[in-house]
Amino acid sequence: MILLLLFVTGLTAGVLGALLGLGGGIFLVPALSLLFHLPMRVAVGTSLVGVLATSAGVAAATQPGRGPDLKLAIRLEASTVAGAILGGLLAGRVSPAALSVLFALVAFLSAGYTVAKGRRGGAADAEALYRADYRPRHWPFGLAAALVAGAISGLLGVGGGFIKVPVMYAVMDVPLGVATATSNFMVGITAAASFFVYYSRGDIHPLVAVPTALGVLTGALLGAFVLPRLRANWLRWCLVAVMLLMGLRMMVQGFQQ
Amino acid sequence: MSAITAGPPVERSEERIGLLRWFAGTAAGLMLVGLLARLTGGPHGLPGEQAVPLARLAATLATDWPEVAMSAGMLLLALLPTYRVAAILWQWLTRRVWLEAAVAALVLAELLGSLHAG
Repeated sequence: MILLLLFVTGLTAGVLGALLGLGGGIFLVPALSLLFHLPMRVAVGTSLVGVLATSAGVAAATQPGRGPDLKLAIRLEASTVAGAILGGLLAGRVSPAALSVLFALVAFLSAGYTVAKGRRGGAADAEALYRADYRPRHWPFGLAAALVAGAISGLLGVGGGFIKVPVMYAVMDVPLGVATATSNFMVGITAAASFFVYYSRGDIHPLVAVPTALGVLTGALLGAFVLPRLRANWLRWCLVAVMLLMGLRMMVQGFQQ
Repeated sequence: MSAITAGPPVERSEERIGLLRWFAGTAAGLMLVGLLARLTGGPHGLPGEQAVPLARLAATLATDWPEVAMSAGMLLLALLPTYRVAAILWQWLTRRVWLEAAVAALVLAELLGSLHAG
């Protein structure tokens, strides 16, 4: 029964992630920690498997011509993967309470990013989102931000798109659609680096991770193929509220430990 | 110019690689079969056993194949992005785009290094 609940949790995270264009980790980690009372590192390790499943689902559903800018992605990944390994190693040394508080802060940031993205997304047309006449700028800042995004991904089991997409779009002058597709591509590579660290350290437990990942994979595929038609602004606001509530709960848990 | 909509060759081949649904399907199949086999063995408390270490995968196959199947499924999911980087590296090498190939090789080295970082 509890494995079925894990599957449903993963499914929900996958669908929500697809709805909001996030990896799903932002919902998975607090759900696993608060509802299933799993240790923070197990929750994060499980979330990384979920992020990998989302990435695989998104890769399988990518439309031709709407893919990532590979040169941009690989250059940024040189920095992000280093950050992810660092974050994964640090997670073994940081106290669960500190991880909970840090996660709460990231949940608040993600909520803010989701609101901002919702406002921008309605105004732009598809051509502007994927225009070809751009040249990425401000590489040092972009690489530094990618390093931080990787470290947060390794520490907290989230994709880090809420850092990468705004930086690529607002600082590096990359069109929003290209930035989002590039971030989605990068998330899988970043999560793989952190996953390997967690796996070798023994923080991945198949009995938790597998039903959750199967749920996430199903949810991500469902979201990619079916749910774009169901997007609605009110739903975005509900999910932002959920993120804020989970953030608050994680903050409280962090200070109680 | 750094663009994707015109569909340069590497991006087009990457899209084909990205559409290798069987990769995700095989991983999901392995995890599902392993999980179902594990469940038939009776109730298990969470969080359960740790994933089988890489070095012991082959040795554990005979004694506890469901655990190996689940671990292998997860590893396959993690190997998909690794494979994509390797494929991109190969594309750039064959096109003699040396700078990009060097960066891709660095990312691949970091990924392989992370296998031993834990």
